Amino acid sequence: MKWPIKRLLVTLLAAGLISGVVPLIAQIKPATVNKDAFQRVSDRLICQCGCNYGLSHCPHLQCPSAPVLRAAIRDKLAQGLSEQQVLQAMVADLGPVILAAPPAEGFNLTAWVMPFVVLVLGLWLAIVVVRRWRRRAPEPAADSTLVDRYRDKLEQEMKRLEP
Amino acid sequence: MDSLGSFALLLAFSFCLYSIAAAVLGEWRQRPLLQQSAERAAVATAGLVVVATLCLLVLLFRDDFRLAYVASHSNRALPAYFKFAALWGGQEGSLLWWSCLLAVFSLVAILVNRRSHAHLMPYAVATMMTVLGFFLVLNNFVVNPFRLLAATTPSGLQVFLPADGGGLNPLLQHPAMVIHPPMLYLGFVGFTVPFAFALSALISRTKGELWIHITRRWTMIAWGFLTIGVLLGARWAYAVLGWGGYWGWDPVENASLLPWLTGTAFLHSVMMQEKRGMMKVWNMVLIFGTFFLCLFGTFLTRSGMLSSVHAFAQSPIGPYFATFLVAGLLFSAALLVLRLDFLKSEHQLDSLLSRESSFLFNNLILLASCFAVLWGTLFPLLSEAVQGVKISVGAPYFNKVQVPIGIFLLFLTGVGPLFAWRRTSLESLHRNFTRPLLFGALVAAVSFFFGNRNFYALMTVFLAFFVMATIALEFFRGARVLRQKSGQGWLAASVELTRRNTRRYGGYVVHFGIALLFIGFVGNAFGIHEQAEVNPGDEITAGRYRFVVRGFADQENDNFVSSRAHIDVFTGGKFFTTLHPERRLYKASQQPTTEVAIRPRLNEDIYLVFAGTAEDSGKAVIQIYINPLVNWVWIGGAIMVLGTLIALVPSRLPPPAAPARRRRKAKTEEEEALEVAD
Repeated sequence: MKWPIKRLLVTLLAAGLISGVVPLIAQIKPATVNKDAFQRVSDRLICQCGCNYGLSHCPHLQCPSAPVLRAAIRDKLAQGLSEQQVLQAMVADLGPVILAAPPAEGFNLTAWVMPFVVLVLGLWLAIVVVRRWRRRAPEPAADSTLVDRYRDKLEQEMKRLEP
Repeated sequence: MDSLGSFALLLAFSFCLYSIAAAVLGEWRQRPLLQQSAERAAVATAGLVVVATLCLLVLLFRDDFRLAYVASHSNRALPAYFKFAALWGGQEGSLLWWSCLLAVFSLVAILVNRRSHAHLMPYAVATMMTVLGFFLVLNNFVVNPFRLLAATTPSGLQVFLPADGGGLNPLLQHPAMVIHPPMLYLGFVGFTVPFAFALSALISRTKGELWIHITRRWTMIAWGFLTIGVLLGARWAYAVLGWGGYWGWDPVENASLLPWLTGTAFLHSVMMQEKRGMMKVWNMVLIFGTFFLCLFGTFLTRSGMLSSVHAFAQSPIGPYFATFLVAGLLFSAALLVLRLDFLKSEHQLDSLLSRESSFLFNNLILLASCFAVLWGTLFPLLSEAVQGVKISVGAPYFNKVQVPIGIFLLFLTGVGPLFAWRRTSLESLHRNFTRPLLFGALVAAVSFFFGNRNFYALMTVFLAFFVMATIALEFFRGARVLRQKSGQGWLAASVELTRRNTRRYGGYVVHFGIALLFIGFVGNAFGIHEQAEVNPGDEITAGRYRFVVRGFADQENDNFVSSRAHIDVFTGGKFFTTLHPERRLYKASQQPTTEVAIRPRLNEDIYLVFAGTAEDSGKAVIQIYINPLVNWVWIGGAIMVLGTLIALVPSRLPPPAAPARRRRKAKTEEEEALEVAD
């Protein structure tokens, strides 16, 4: 089976796109029981003791922050607030610093976009470089018989040196 | 002893300055004797820094608490092996340790190359000594480890001698901490040597790939140490910090990952220059970037700019690092621009389907990953500067950005090595990829059947097994040819194959380790976390395990007091194991810690944390983590290190070739497999 290069490249590109987009859709989970809701909210918040860990993972004994914040989440969920409302209330109380990842809005959007912008720019640059490398004028044509003879000889010698 | 250490450090600094001046002048005026003198001064500098380091070590073992460093980072009850670790447990000691390793690396680089590559030595020596000189400035004048605990009183300077020291940070009292920092530092410091020779080649306009040939092994050694250092750091975080994971995208963890990513890109792209004379500018950029990222990571975590659970040594050295970094970057960038004409590529790209283009994309993805880590790490600072609002960038951000990039990188790990240099035919692609692709898809399907519904996890399983199959197939093809020729067994033929081209097959082993590492990462998607407040006799259920709390016992020794839980674990109604998570209070520092109890298994770890006592109920708080596949991270890491070691061994030449008429025979598919260049 022979595949044209273009088709192969398009397939690879499509595989890359699918691997990036599909999971974002697949990650949306429905809310279930309160314990799961608590875990999901905790996972989206960060402890404020300086440990840089998620609220449910802060390893510090005598942490001044995590137990208080966990209790606040439980209270809010017990009051009947939805997960989103709890998150909003926590941000209103403590500021966006409480969120484990920056919200995708305003200037913070750049946090999410820039790595992929750089990737795309890099890809563009790589394509430009590859094109330039390929477009270079070919070297003056040599006698093909001579070239073949030398290539054979070189290959034999190289083969003797390394597998 | 402290006077001897201080004196050795000062003398080392003087010799270092002389070495820089003599090396540059010697090259400028073309005075070989001056150049030789510079090398000898560098050797003397190394010797003196080693003496200073040994002095501090002796003072730590002697419990000489007159020294502020010893009093702050050690105590009498500290076990001997942790006294050794106290050498790098604080800012002053760790910077001296850094200088010591750099001095020894420089010494070895000089001794190995001074005769064979004399023309590159003056600027290489000057560069290495400039970097060492910077650290010696810090050691002597900013954070001197030999500073005495003293105060000026009306009767003059009075030196204090406390009865005991404050002790080593309890979090550092772990076996991994005895070897993790030296490994990481060896990685960081090791990149100074390729950086120095690259700079020297650029300044002296040395044509060709000589600097790459000289530093290829140095780069691999540095990369290997950095890999070990990063993995040991992850292992330490897993076993000590007690948050249930091994990689939290903490700024210090990120700082160690940045040069690893650029160093990995460099290890690959450097082959393009060796084989095809391409990417000369890019290789310079990569080695400069890797070196400066090593320094930048240190600056980031020690300057107090970002907080971290891994940062144990902070002091006002930030401005010194910032100045050195900016000056170094400007000098290197200016030099690179001035020498652009000298770094033109010699060859063109023959085909998109070639090893060259796969390396180009591999570099692109590694650099994109590096940028994403750097961007995420610095974004809180940027946000505060631009918006005036503090924000956090934690694991959820990094996981979302890095996982797709990582998966693409894993894909390239599989396909890259199977492309031939210059051009790969579609038939060859078909031959090399069809079976591994089918194998990967089959394993992913089985994993789906057993409940893996996470897209990223499925993709990772598919690609990891695809990578492993491609590597296995490469070994199989090569070994089959050797078997046919020599009649050896499969194992012997595989070993022989590897010995004939250690770099190529060592690289495959590293890639195999990376695939296993990714298998370990997959487990993160299926972890279980439970927390409960318990009394003796209570039970907790997590996943398929039942935990029965039998009781708590108090213990005490010279170093700490502890409370130890006794928890029996059952699965399927049968007793499985007993675990003892523990809480400790270290006497000297009065700092509490958790001692995690782990039952490691190949399929999953049971990980228990005695997190404390609930204030309202007085019950013990126990956290349970079931961490699937986590041990494959350590196994994969060990295999990566093994592959690096294999690649460092010189290749053995094959036996003399067969008579010419036999060589004329048409090549089989398998023989072609042996011929793909490394």
